[in-house]
Amino acid sequence: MLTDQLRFRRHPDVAFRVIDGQAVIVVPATQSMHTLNEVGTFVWERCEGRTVDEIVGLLVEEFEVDDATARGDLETFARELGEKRMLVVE
Amino acid sequence: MTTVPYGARSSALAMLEALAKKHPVPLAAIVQLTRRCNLGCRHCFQVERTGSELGTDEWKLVLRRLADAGVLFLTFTGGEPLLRRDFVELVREARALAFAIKLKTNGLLLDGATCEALAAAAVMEIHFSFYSADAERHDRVTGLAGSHARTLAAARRMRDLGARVLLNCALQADTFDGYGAVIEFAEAEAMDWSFDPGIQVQEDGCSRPADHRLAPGQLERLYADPRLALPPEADDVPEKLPVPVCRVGQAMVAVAPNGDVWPCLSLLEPLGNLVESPLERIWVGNPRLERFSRICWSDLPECRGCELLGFCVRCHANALHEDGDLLGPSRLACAGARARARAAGRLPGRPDDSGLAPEGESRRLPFAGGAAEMAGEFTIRPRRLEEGQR
Repeated sequence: MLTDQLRFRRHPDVAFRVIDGQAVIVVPATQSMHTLNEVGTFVWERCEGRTVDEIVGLLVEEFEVDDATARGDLETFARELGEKRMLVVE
Repeated sequence: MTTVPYGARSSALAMLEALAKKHPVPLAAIVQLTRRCNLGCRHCFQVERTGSELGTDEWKLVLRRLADAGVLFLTFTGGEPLLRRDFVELVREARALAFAIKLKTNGLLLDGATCEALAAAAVMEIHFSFYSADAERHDRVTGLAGSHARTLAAARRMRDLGARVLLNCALQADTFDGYGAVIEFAEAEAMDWSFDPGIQVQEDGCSRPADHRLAPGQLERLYADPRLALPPEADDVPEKLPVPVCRVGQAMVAVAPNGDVWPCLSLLEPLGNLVESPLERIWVGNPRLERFSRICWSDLPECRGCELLGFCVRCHANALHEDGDLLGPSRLACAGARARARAAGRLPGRPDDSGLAPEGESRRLPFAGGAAEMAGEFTIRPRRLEEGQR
């Protein structure tokens, strides 16, 4: 469960660019490459140093989604990206 | 959330190529920090070992401009890039700019502290020039006694720090019979391997490096080796004819030690300078670049009707440097096509080991060892507003 005041940080080892609106992320430790869809890219571009609360607020403002759904999906997203060493939540 | 993994390297490359088509400049750059080298390898194609080099701040500007243009993959090469005293500083800058960093080196200057710094900067791959599992043979190629041991020590150090290490072997006639030992050696050391059987002539056309090329029979044996996973069939010729011969202009930007942008590391045609201009301004619509990138197989007057066209892989630069004609037949490519056709059983007769010229082939073989790249896609559920609903 993400606490509201936890902050996101891109993992310092990842390489990334946003190409044609799509984040492309390379994880050197696992020699893997990932792409994010539009929503994932939206979060990726805005996550650095922001709290969970702040990102949920941005999602609710930008997309047709309620606070609870955005929070739940952000948690899933953060967990998967954390497991793949792309994102740090602290 | 849905994750779609792609287990095959080819899928990752296909995805990258699709992305690259949407992007005005290549996603990869190879940066030649210096032409100076601390080895004198007998087959080296570089002639000029001096020349002007950018200062540290200028290199940082160049790296920033590459990042701003969307370049993701950055390879440092030379000469020997570690001869730059600011090498670690430049790697750290590249990390700060979120590049996926690769390094090509002979490893002689990779001491413990430098290895630690590269690991801390999450350098993704390190390619070591490696010519034989046999130390004496390796040292004969480099011209430096003890170089094999030093290269290997650095490779092991980086492997132990968790970096992906690849032993890159430019195969030569008198080291060829040890290529299987290189594979076994690399795999026992938990390293990747690759072979380049195409020794290029020097940039000034001097053919001395070609003395070390594989003989036709050796090439054929190489192409027939299933460990190299080469495609067994010829390309479809009618489909191939209207396609550009090589990916120059699409695959990679090459940057010279003075900041000049080249089409590739073998075509030394300055397109502009990254200290003076952003990459997009240099690259997009540049007629000097399009002179090379638009050449299709059907534009090669003597080659388009060749019965071996389906097996041909060609380097314009080598055709120009060795045979004097950008659009003419390349003896390097012809030898490679013959060998591949024979390996595929599509050309009768025995290899002509007494051919007029020592022959090789310019295509870098795909490496077969080590972890495949993966690509994935994330889907999160928030439903964005449909068009017109915002």
